[in-house]
Amino acid sequence: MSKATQSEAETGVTLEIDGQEVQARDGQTILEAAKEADIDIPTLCEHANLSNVGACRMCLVEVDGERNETACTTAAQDGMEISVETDELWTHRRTMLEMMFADQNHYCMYCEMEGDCELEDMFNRAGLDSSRVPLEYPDIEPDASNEYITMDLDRCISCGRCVRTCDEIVGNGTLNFGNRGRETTIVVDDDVSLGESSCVSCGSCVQACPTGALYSPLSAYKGRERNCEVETTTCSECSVGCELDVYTNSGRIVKIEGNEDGPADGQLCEMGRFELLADGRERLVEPQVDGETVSLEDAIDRASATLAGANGVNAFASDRLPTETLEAFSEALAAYDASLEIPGAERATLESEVLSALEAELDVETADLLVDSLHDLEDSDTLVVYDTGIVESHPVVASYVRRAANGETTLVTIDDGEDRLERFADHSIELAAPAATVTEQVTDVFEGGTEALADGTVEDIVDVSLQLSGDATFVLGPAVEDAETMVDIFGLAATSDNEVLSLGPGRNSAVANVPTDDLETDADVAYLLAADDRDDDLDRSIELAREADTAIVHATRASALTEIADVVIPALDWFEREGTIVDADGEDRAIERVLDPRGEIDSDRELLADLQEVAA
Amino acid sequence: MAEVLQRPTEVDTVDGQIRIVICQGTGCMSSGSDEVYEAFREQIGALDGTENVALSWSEGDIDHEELGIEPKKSGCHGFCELGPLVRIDPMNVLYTQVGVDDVEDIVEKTIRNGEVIEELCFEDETGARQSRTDNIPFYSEQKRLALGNCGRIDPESVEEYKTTGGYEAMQTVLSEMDPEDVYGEVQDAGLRGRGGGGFPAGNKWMFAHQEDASEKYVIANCDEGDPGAFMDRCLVEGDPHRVIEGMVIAGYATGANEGIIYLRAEYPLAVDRIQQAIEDAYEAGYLGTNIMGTGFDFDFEVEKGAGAFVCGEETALMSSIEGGAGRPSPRPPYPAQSGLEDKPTTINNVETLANVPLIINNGAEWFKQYGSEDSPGTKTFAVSGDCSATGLMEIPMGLTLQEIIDVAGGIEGDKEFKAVQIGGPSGGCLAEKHLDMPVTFDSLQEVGAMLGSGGLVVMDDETCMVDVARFFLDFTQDESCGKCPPCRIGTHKMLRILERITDGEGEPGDIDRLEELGETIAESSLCGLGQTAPNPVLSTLEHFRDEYEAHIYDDECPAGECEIGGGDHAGTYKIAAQDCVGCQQCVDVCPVDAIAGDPGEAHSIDPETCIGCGQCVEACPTDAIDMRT
Repeated sequence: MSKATQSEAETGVTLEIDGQEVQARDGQTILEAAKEADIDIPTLCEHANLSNVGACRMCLVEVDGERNETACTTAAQDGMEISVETDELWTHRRTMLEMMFADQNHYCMYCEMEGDCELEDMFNRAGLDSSRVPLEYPDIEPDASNEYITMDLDRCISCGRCVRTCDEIVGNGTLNFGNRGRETTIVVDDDVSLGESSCVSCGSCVQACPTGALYSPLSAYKGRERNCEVETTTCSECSVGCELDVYTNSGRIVKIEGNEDGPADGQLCEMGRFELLADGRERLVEPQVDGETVSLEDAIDRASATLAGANGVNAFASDRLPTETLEAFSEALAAYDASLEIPGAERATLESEVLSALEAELDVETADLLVDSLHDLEDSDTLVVYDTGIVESHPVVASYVRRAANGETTLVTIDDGEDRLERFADHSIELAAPAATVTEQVTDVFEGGTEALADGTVEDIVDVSLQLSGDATFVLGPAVEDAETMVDIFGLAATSDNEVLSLGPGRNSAVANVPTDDLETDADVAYLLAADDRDDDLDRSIELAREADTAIVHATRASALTEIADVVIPALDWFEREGTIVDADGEDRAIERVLDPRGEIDSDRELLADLQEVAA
Repeated sequence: MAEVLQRPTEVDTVDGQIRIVICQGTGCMSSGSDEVYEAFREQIGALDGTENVALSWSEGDIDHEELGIEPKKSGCHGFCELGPLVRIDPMNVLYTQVGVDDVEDIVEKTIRNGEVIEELCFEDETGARQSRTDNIPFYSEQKRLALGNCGRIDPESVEEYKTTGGYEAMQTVLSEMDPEDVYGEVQDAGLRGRGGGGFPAGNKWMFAHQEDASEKYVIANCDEGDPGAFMDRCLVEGDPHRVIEGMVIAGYATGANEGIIYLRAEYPLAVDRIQQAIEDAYEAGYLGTNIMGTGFDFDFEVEKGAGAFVCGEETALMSSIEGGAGRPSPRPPYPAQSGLEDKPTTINNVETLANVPLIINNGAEWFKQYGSEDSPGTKTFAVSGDCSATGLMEIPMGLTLQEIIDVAGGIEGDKEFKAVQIGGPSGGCLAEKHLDMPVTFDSLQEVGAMLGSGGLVVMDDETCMVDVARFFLDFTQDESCGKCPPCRIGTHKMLRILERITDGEGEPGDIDRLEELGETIAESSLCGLGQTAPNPVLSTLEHFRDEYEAHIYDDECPAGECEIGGGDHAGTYKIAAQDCVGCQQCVDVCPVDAIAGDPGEAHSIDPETCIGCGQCVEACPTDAIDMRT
């Protein structure tokens, strides 16, 4: 969709930019047309995924030799003659850049963004190396109260990209403009520090900032973006499947950004952008048996011997792993008659069963029931979110929910505890359990309003949401666990021609196809493919290790788990893995190797195959 | 022998009431008119029910309640120079500079006995006292059309408004005219926007009319932000029903059923008056559904602004009404296409709207007899500065600058005219050579100024033009919304340069810098505020460049207004750059190396280092070096 503010641009127009004939489509702006023709009109406040505001004035172009207009907000029209590179326009651009330079702390050599800064590039492009106007800046203390995002407003040019990102992309509205005139500044909520604010630390503003006003201390001074290699891979921290652009330099990860052409418009969350980088624990590279370093062969021998001699094996694998690895795990451990547990498998299996049943019963294509793209959320008239825990478990989806609620969509939230989307919800309903099942009692709660729903049932709520308006989308959070609720919601969606976005606790939705069991209560060996051995994966692994007499652990980092393990075999870290992961929409997404593995292990899969072979 | 007033006839008075009208305009308020009002209430209250009032001009005693003697607050009467003003109707007496102490006298003599108190009357050039406004040049030279009712009728009475022909135009429009005829009439009259831009109002209405939309808006722009301008406030305070009538007509012509007046919250009286008037108009059936049985619906509400200058800009104004920050956005789309809540929106200045009922009642030809060909009608001006009769005046367009100044009583005292700043902070300075220029929308634009809302500051020869530019720029940089860099930063940088010039710290090259910054700000800013912000600087540079040079090179303020002195550096030396030949002799003799400069270029002395020994003065072959005092 074009962002031209003038509505009547003609279809298929031809215009001339600096003497070059350029074709533009209906409603395209001059800037969009120029970009497609590889003509570089200078910009600072413009950003592809954001609305255009014409604030920075860099893209002023001369139209038909008679007036100056901002290319980012003016529709291309047939026969327009545009000049970009005139002396007069560059004089104005240079003077404005001089003003900006003299009004803030733009001493590039002390700035983290030096070399990657769009403002600095613009200074260079304009040939500006000094300023003739009085130098004076307010000397604002940087705000380092957020662990992952530092805000240095002395380097802020008030382009408003961060404000628009926080509003239009993240839907959170944490960042705003405050004051006016020269005092204009970015204000966090009601002027609190970033650390105390409603900020969700997604870092989208950092990615959007053209200068060094917003940066992450995790990436600061690790190297210039332009000297980095970039690998695009898929995040496996939840089932959304965001595309990560991972920047590396000399075998080290410098930063992670969201791929702006990816499914989430360049958005990431705190987990994908920062927490993957923030793991400061020691990397495990050597196999160990009983605390002593051994060769890999010895470790595998010991592991297989222990497995073979066990009176019962409980095996666990993190669902952060690629589908191929999980399959190899399943096959290898089957050779030792192990019971398998993979987080999220239960919900995913249940969901797939429910969908198959519905397919047969109601004659619907399950694919039609599932939301295709996160953008569909914004197009819904009503969004019903069961379990607002998605704010923590699937933060990027939460952004789309907020965006929708900030727009025309009516948001109904249902939660048994704290409603984390209450600020955005039109109707916030507290249920005794979010997964309350449908009862036969259908009360006419609509007249009683949402208060009457406090003790209502799922059906009541759905009833209300459907009455509110036409197209509805149901979002099921990870806390929805029972079959009945799932049947009800999917069934309602099927019969009302609506869609469901199901966000289970699992990351890799392929776990639905990996056979799992209930773990044995008296197994004496635990086999733990803990993968990133973080958070819930780590907690569950430790629990299982403690229950067993002997624990065999695949780990990437030294942790409480490796301390109690009998056999430790290094595993690949997230950026070393290869394979595919299935996202919540059922799509296969590629996991690419970002850096070569540190240790001896080149492939988790091969190692599991070795183990399987030994058993055979 | 005191002039004895005649009993008013029925024709003179609306309802037989005696009215004491105390001006509560900004000017009069600042000289204590609110206290005068309270004093009148007290005095009249003292009469309350205790005795009948003997009026020498009446036929016997009349109960004061029957007469309805009641002090009334009014909007600005215009003649601010001599405030507080008290007008007593229907006798048509204007008292000037009324103090609290005069109130008892006025009640005793004028109200009770029909005597005029000469000392309180305007004193004309001959020394004669004039009690009637017809005999006061400030009023007699004006042509009060838009302001016709202000200070005369009770702004809180629909009935009084109707006696002046109020709501007749609306009735005509709604029952006899098509929208096309209405905007056609306004187009024929050549009515141009009084808020500053001068865009033809009829065309604006036509564009909005042509938009196909189920919902449209009209907005009355009363976000009067220029320092010293208060014509819109005066209209809303003094004749709110006229504004309502103009709005209903605009709504009908454009196809809008909803109107909003955007009013500064700092105008509490105006807010009260318009709110009261809207209530009364609803009551009387002039607003709401099926107005006067014509089937036309129109709702009208008040939106209070927080007093930001930039909110007078149409896109910022609408953003403010929508609850957003008062920040402009680029056009197109124009408000007529997509304005408030993305609906076609017509925004007219209050004064423009006030002219509309007159045009409908009297016809386009009647309107065009006033003013000039390209700018028909009258314009209100808020004249301030060094004139002897400053205040608010309404005069036909096309009078020369000199004529306008004459209406305002000419330059005060025995000083000489130097310049006027017209159009507020967005306007420009005009010099002596422009005195014979007719003042119209177009003539002003030709000389780099603009009519703006009609602010006019007259300056005599003791005014420093650099300081004038600094004053206006200080205002605009403070009022910049901060969205675009040229306005947000550029105006501030210009201000800093002007400040150092008026402080005597100006540097060679500052004039070029001001011009470069000014041109970029004018050419690159997003909205009208920024685009016009450099005007005061650029126009004073054009007409009074020598004053800038005197400040920078001679450390001298020709008008003597700026306190240029050595300040902390008194006793040190400075080099007049235009006299310096760059011979380096001073550099050679300076014992502390305070003097810098390449051969052939103007040198300069660092006052921080200079010890004031004076050896350079001796060495200089061109007498370019002087002591800072």
